[in-house]
Amino acid sequence: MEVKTPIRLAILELGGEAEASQTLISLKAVLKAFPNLEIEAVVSKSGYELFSSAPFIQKVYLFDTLTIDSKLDAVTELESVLERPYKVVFNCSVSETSSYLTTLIPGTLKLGYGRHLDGTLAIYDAWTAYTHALCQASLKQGIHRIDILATQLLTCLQLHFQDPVENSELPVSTKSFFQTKPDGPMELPNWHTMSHKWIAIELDEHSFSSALDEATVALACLELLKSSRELSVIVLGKTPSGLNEAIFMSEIERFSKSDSQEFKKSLKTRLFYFSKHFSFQRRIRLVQRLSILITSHPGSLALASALGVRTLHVADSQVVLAQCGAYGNGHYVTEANTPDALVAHLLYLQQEWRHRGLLHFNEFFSSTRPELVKPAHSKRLLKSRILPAKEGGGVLYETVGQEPFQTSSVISIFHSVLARDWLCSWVPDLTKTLASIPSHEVQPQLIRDCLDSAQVLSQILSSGLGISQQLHSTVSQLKSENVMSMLDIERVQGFAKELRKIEELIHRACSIRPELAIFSSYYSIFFNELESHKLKPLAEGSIEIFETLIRGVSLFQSFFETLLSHKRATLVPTRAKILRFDRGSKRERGL
Amino acid sequence: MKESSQIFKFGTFSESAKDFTDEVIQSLFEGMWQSIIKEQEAERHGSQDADQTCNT
Repeated sequence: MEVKTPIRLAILELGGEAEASQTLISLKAVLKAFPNLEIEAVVSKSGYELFSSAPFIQKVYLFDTLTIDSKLDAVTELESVLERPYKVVFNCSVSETSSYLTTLIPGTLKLGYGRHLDGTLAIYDAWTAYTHALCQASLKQGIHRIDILATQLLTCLQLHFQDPVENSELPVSTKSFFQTKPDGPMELPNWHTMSHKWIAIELDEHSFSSALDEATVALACLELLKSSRELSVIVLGKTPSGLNEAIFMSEIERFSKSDSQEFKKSLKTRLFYFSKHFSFQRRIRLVQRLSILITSHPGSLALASALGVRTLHVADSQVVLAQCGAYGNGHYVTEANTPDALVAHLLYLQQEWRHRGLLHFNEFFSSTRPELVKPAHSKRLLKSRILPAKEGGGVLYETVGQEPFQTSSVISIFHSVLARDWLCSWVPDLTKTLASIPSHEVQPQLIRDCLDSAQVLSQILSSGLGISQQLHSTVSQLKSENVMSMLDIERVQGFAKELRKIEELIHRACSIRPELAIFSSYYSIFFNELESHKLKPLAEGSIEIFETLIRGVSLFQSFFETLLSHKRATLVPTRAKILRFDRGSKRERGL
Repeated sequence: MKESSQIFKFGTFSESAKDFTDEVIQSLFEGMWQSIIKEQEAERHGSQDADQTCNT
């Protein structure tokens, strides 16, 4: 077997616990394809224990920006990281500090945000440009952060180092993700009885923005405990900021007043409230034992994803699940914001083994709990599914029990299709991609308006392309860029003036229709990152930018025409050259 | 290796940090230090969004 040269990789992860867990999941996936990676990580305090417990990370450096007191401290913390150059430095964070650090850490190849030598923000790779373009314009997209990080690194390694190792399709999330040390057994009745189910509900500061107050959680606990005798519930109420055990227990007492004595007695051995802070090791062991973790906490969701434990995410409807929800198959999300709706969704989930998600809420509740039909329908319940590569890859959240669909989600689906076309050179079957959108949710007039505006934008971009081609033709004929005749100078300046007008028109066209905002955002990033002191490469770059944007608008038109007509899938017509990469297909990378 | 596209880069080949001039290194460290101070101030003001500054 061929032994590959080790590739030293430095990871910068200065985000919170959720980001750290997501980054670890993507690194584990990349390691399957590139086992010769030697990963060292510079992490924030929130990610330190997570990274230190992951056996596939060789060294972890703590860079706690909140406790550094002086410039000297900052240099001392980084001393060993700055010592020996890495092959790749990958900044997974979005903080300003991390961008400076990425540039300072010696490495051959950089990914993520960095700094130009004049201190301005640098975008080192195409996937970062994609997320930046969306972030700048406050747009949503449909590719999960874990998939983006993994694809970013996989593409870079394949293009610049070696082909990936062919291996099996084993899932990345496993219960042995972290190394755990014995930390004393959990002395709870039935903890070690494997047929007994354990469910935990987190009641913490994130609960303030969700339905998880003490009364709702108390009601939910009682409903769960009544639904099965082979089930116990743990409430994790670790915050000092208001939600507390005394209120919770009094709510339990209030709601269980009319229940039987036997049931009330059983609560002592089946319902537990932990208010103390668990050590990281103990927390891992607790989460590993759960059947379901019910939480609003992004860090806990990501941690449970890494451990392969199912979650019920109590989220408000503004959370972009496709980007930052729990990653994996079978995770649930409820947008319930009333006790009844939450209880209805919980009971539906708890009985999933029986209905397998195939029953609608009215079929499920009508005979047993008809009063829950309306609350269940009032908010969405979603379930995650990992899509196979041929269906576009990534994680998809589908509604269960009912079928509402938010029209605004169509644009976020388009953004992920655009990313696959531009960055992976392929377009999924549009009919299949759009199949989950019910026809009654499609607003034909809005789509026609979008298509009209896209036509105008396409014409503006074509004019820009024409001007760039003329500029290129002119500068190609110059004998020298340093010494030009007055006529040539005037001509070049004339083209520059016309391009500025085009830029203004692009921004104006995209501001009229927010659905097109991605193109003006990308236009700015492309030109900002076009670096050369010579006219000819600048002209070539601007031709590539206009051709790419024209192709993107063409994809936008195909996407919405398909949605409007519901015709059979057709691949996007190629009106410009296909972007080609040095080797290999990106299809198998999960996107 | 040649980049396949001018606008779609899959990683940027970096200038070696040891070739940076002292002025560049000083200025990058100063920039980092200023951003650390900003994060600490944001934390003191109870902001939860210190790490969400990708629009800078």
